[in-house]
Amino acid sequence: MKDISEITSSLIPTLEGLEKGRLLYRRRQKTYLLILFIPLIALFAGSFLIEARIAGFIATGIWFVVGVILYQVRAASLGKTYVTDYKKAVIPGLLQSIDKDLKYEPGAGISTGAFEGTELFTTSPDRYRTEDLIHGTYGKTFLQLAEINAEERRTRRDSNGKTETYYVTIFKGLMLIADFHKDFHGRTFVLPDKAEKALGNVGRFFQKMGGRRETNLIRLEDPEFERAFAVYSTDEVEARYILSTAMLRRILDLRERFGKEVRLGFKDSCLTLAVPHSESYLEPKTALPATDTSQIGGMLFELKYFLETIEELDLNTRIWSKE
Amino acid sequence: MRSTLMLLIGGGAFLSLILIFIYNSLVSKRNMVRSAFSSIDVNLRKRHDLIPNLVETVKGYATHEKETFTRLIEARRQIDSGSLSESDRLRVEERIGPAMHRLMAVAEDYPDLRSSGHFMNLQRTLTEVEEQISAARRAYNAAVFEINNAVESFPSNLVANAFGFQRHDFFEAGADARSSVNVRMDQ
Repeated sequence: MKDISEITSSLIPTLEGLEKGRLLYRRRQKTYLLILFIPLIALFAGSFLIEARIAGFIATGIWFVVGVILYQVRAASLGKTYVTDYKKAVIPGLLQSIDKDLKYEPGAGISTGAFEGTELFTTSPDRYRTEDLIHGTYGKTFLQLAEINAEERRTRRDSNGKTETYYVTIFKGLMLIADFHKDFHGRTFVLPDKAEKALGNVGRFFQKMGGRRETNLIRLEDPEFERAFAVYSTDEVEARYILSTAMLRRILDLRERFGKEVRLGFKDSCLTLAVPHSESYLEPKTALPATDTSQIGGMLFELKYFLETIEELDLNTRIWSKE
Repeated sequence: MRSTLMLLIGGGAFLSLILIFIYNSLVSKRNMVRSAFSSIDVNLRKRHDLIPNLVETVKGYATHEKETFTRLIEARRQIDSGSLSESDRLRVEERIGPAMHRLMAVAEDYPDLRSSGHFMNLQRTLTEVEEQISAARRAYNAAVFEINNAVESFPSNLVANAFGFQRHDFFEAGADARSSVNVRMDQ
């Protein structure tokens, strides 16, 4: 298995090629920002000096729209191409250094159907974006990992009676779907506990209503886990089979690492982990030279940080009848 | 007079509703205990069914474990006879787990046995069944905790006493079984 310095040195010729694209993008970016803003400021200031002030404002608006379109077509698209090319060149090599059976597809992700099928979120998304799919076998575990941004469309009326549409985030972050090491047939969900934490014993009553179709609230033995999560399952014994006492501690460790809003689902013999993450991951910075190897180290760290979840949850241990 | 009567009827209806609610809740809790117990039973039977397979696989290697074989076969015979009470059967089942683990441990000294597909499959199945037994016990104890709370708390204890709902004992693993649970904790 290659180490980071070997990977970096083998990538240098490719990165040098990519650097040309990045420099072109940076030049175009500067040029088109100047093309956009200098006339824009001139038109806006000029509007105050002429009598037909409204016409001046309209001209400013038109130039703004034209300028943004020009910027998007001539400069921003180059930036997107650079980012995609960089990821395609760098990430597969990094994944190979972690496990040779892992593949990367920058434009692919986890489908809307699969996202809804996890049942971790009750709202169906109206706007859905997914990218940076990593899939394959890590150790003995088949997995899919992708970035997701799922949003719900809502409308509201302002004071003038106009209807405005806006989007509310259902989930933004990383979703990992992995083959679980034990066979099971039911559905079990581990969701952040909000009701009991906020309302104490009264909250427990509301917790019972917060489950998924055909599930019951399950009370587990670990008080720390109970304070952090609410568990719902279609089968009480199976939920405990999946959530062994050791697994409860591992999930608490994950919460420590990924934050309080982390949620897990166990369904169709697979585990789904949803980690809210406000920033995009695996994105190269266009301000840094493509040949800057510290970025590659950062990406490798990000990949390992999420993929280590498989080991943290002990999914590569296959001592049960499931191979 | 009429308002007092209405008050009494209203109060009586309210109390009856509370009574029905508590009674149904106790029945539901008792059924959960029964259901959890039957899960333990199902999984113990699964383990029990592995015994002939295990004996057949290991007997050529573990001649020095004659006493363990005898204990295991005798325990299975006792359970199959159907003459044991439920609690006696559970006590006998408790002895089976450690004996099976002892026979599985024989493979440590025999690499050819350890690497045989049949033995590995048996080992995986036993590990799985043991974890299912452990999960069923935890579910049973959780159900017992719920009903014991209800039987001892006011006012549900009044309904429990009137209708014969009783406390249940927690399922406690014996010393041998506890040691095998500790091994599984690391997995």
